[in-house]
Amino acid sequence: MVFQRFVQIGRLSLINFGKQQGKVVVILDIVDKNRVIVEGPGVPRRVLSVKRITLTPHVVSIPRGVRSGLLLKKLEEQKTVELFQQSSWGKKLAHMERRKELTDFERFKVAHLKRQRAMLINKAMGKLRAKK
Amino acid sequence: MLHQFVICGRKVPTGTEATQIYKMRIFAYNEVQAKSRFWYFLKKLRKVKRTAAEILDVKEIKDKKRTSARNYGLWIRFQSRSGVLNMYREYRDVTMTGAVAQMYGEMAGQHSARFDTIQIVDVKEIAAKECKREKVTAYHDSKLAFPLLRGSKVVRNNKYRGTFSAKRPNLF
Repeated sequence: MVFQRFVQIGRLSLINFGKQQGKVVVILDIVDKNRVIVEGPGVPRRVLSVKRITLTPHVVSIPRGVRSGLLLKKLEEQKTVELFQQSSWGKKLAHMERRKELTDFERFKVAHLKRQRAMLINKAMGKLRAKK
Repeated sequence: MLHQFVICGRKVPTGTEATQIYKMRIFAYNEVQAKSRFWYFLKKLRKVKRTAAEILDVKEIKDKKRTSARNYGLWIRFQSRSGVLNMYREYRDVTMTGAVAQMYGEMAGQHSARFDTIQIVDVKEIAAKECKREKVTAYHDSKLAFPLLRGSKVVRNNKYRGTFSAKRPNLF
């Protein structure tokens, strides 16, 4: 078992609790083994317990305790948030977010399409089975 | 929550004699306790008693909303079961009261020290290069990286939380 994701300066993480749940933040400094200082787009700088963040595989190269302006600039330059959003994890989150916003009719449409897809798959599977 | 107070007091003036005003920085959980500690320390340092003295001012020093980690050095005097010990301890925190609270917690754990057996001699914010304890200096390395062994739990809505799970949890 080799660890890949570390609590370190520049680590992109997700807040997993509270009002800011789901927001992307960057670790700017480590207070001690349990607390880190984080900031991100739309999240003001704050101290957070490491239990309240989930580490992603992405890291921004920034100096320790960097100022907000430079942080946002570096994030844009290195496209770190974008990379995360394009990863399957990021896509899944965006997907879940979109699903939450659906109206009743849209949910019906999804269910309908899912049924249709299942029908097509089952048909093709049936044919394959018949061949055997 | 621990608070920091600054307390001023003096002997009640009698006649024309000028009385010395004493000022002290006290860490306590509330104002009442802070005043009590003030008298306790003043009695030890000077010949002033509560009955013949008055408190002029109690002010709380609120912590600034800080978002940068700092190093604090604490000099304390601690009455252990077998004698008096002087100690120097270091903590890393965002605020001074946070560091002092850490000290009380740690002293309780390591030495079974109660609040009243610990006298804080001095608390100072210290520069990184002046730090001595490895527990603090370890965090000065800006390339420091450590994994989350216990992982961070995603807090889910209770509605979806069942007694049993089909999947083994991923702990890192």
